[in-house]
Amino acid sequence: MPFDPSRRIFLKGAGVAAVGLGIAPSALLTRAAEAAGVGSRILVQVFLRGGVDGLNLCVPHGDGSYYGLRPTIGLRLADGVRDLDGFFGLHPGLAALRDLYSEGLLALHPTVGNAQLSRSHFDAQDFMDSAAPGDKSVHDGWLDRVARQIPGEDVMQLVALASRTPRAVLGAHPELVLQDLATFAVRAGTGGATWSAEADQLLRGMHASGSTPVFESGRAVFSAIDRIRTTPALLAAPGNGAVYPGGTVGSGLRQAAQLIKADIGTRCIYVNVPGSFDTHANQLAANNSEYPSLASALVAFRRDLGTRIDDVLLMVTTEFGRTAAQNGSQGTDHGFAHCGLFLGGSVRGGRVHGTWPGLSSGALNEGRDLRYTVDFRDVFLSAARWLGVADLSQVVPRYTAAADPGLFG
Amino acid sequence: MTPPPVGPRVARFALDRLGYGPRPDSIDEVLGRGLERWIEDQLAPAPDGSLDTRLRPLSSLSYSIAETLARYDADQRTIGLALQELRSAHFIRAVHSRNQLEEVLTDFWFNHFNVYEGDSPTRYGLARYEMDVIRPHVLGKFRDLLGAVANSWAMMSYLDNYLSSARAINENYARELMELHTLGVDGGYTQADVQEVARAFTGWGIDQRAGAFTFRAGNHDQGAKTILGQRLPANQGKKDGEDVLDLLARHPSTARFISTKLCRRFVSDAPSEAVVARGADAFTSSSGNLAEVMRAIIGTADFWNEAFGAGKIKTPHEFVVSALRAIGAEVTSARAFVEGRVSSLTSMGMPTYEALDPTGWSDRGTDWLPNPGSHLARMNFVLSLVSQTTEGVAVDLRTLIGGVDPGNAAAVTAAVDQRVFGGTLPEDVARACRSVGGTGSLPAGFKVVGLALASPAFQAR
Repeated sequence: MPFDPSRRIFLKGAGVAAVGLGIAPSALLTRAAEAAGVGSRILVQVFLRGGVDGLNLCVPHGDGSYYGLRPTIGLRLADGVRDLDGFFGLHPGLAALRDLYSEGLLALHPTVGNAQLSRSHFDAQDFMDSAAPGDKSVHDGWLDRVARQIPGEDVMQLVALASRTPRAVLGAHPELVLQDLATFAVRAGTGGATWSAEADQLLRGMHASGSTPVFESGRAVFSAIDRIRTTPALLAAPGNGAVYPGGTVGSGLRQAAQLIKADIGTRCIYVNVPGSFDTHANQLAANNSEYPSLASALVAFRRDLGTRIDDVLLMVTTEFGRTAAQNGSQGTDHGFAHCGLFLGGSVRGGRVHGTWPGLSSGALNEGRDLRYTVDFRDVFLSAARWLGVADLSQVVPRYTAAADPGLFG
Repeated sequence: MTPPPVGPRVARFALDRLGYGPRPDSIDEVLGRGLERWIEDQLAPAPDGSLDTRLRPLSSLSYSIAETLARYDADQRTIGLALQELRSAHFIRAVHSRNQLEEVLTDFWFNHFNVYEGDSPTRYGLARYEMDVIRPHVLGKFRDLLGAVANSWAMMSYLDNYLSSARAINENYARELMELHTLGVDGGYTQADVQEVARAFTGWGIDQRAGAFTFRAGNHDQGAKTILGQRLPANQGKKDGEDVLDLLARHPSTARFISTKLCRRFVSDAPSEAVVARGADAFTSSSGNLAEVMRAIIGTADFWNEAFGAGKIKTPHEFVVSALRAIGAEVTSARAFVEGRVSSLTSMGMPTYEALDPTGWSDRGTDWLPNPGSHLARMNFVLSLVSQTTEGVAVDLRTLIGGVDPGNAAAVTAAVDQRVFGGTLPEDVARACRSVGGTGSLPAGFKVVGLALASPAFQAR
């Protein structure tokens, strides 16, 4: 779907008008969007924690060096790798994604990275979430800075499906962090001694004023309880016969789709996925156990959304890739460039993007890692631009953008 | 030491900071013993017979790794039973032990040297790791603790060092040893140092048949190494690794890094330069005696000033254990309790032994709140406790409220204020608590306890 600048201007105008009317901007935005026959654009970031190995995800089976570097863990077409373009192929566990690729909704970029991303999980994740690699003075998150430029300050605009608050959503804009929309209420007592409503009311009062984080968090709890209670659509069953797998990625994407379909002004969603991605040893088994649920969750998400997929951009990210060569333990160590997956109606799909730096020893970073060819910050900026953010300099601090990577638009 | 005037408020603070908060009689006990003597007791743990009695039914706690492998390896699913017993022990100790500081420090150092229970074969050594590798050293020498960890089944397995050999290096342990265990990420080492340390530790691994740590000389890289500018000569064998541990344990970056982490746990999320320096100096001058580092930190004005501040937000583990202690809970069926508790700690974002990454759980209070999802789970947990709907825990609220009529909300509010909050319960919370009546069979006083523990005042320590 081509980007329509007139729509962005219209929505921005609606936000400004809402202030004068005293109506929650997000509600008006949604109504305005419905009136125009389109939904607001929504950005979904899925973060796979642990450093996913891109070379066995988007397999460069056409690169002569690949099998030399990975004599026992290198994957071949004969192993079930699903060819994409004659050079790259998908891990067998991700074969279900081949249809999304053919449909033009899915793209891959196998060499996303940054020169200053650390080899430490913690630092690299932090640097990506803040979009400020190497700069520990930046504490707020990149999605928070995106959300601040969306009209309105509603907690439902920025949602993280996670057990702990990821740095990406920390900052001045309110955010909702939860794991399960369906059970989100105060529960006190059982049977004839149930006093949930009374507990809700009294605890609400105790958090009504007070400025420390505990009080602010308490107010967010009750605000979210009210929003969920008054929006039955948030608990709607998946549409179009979509079936999500169990586990974090399945429940995360199922609820992301519920938020999108409920049309309550949600614009940025972060789905946190811990998993066995830090594959220092026995990588084949770990990937085989994780990838099928990732693939089936993405397939279900696309099916569930139906035509709303046109308004959605989903990015799958991880903190770094892994060493080009396998180590002594049938695994790989912390590396450099990682592989990004992109799903949505605006994605220039059916393609593996970027230039391929190759895996010959001279082509590797420090003689050990796949080089990156696009800075992850340019990907983030491109996504923010797609979402309609006006001032991109606020999204990534102190950074001069390179050319748009052309992944979507 | 510079203790402020000692009253219930300060006693409660000491219990909250050096332990998991007061049980119903704890504030009186600290005041009766005298604060300074109570702290010295905590720094030199004495045997706790009643705790041992509570732990005795958990038979798998005494198994060696070899026995654990023999009993559970045939069917990997059954190892879950042993892990449940370990979890049970973790909570029984935290809730009931008289040596509260030892429990907090065991949790702290386990998290510092984190291993993940989902990892196999790590999990077969998990009980021995907590009980024999971590616990005996938490008030001893840092070098002994570091050495015990490096020589452990659990760590050599979790960070893959058992797979590393001269021909096939795995640098996972080497990197985390410097980044997370000793120097800190900005502690002044390079990628070249990581590779050299990895060479030094080749051959350090585990014998899966014997169920023990082992050094395999045949896998060791016998060449010379240079680490942080220091040269290790060729052909040293296992001594290479021990030399690296010596080097790291006495490095100034390590003193600072360890002091910073301890100050973050015991003082505040953003400890002052002065208190960090006091801890680091004590670390250096005592050659890494961890009891001396604790004594130095506790002896600062920074530590005691916190008693009058907003407090540090509790982690989910601290919140759950402090709530169980506050209500005088008795863990009756450890397994039922733990199974129920696992799910509540999961929804609070901190399932026990399930920190996946070597980084462990965050030690910053602000990383745990604000977050509506986990905050709601905390409220619902204490509300279920007072409604007696938490399995495996006997809650006799009459212990907490003493001789007070459980139907008298005002009297129960006053008792909770004294015995749980040391007289600091905010007036608006007290007013809400006094306003409730009974619901069905649930007396007003039980609701008072639930509301007080779900209030903002109980979220910080």
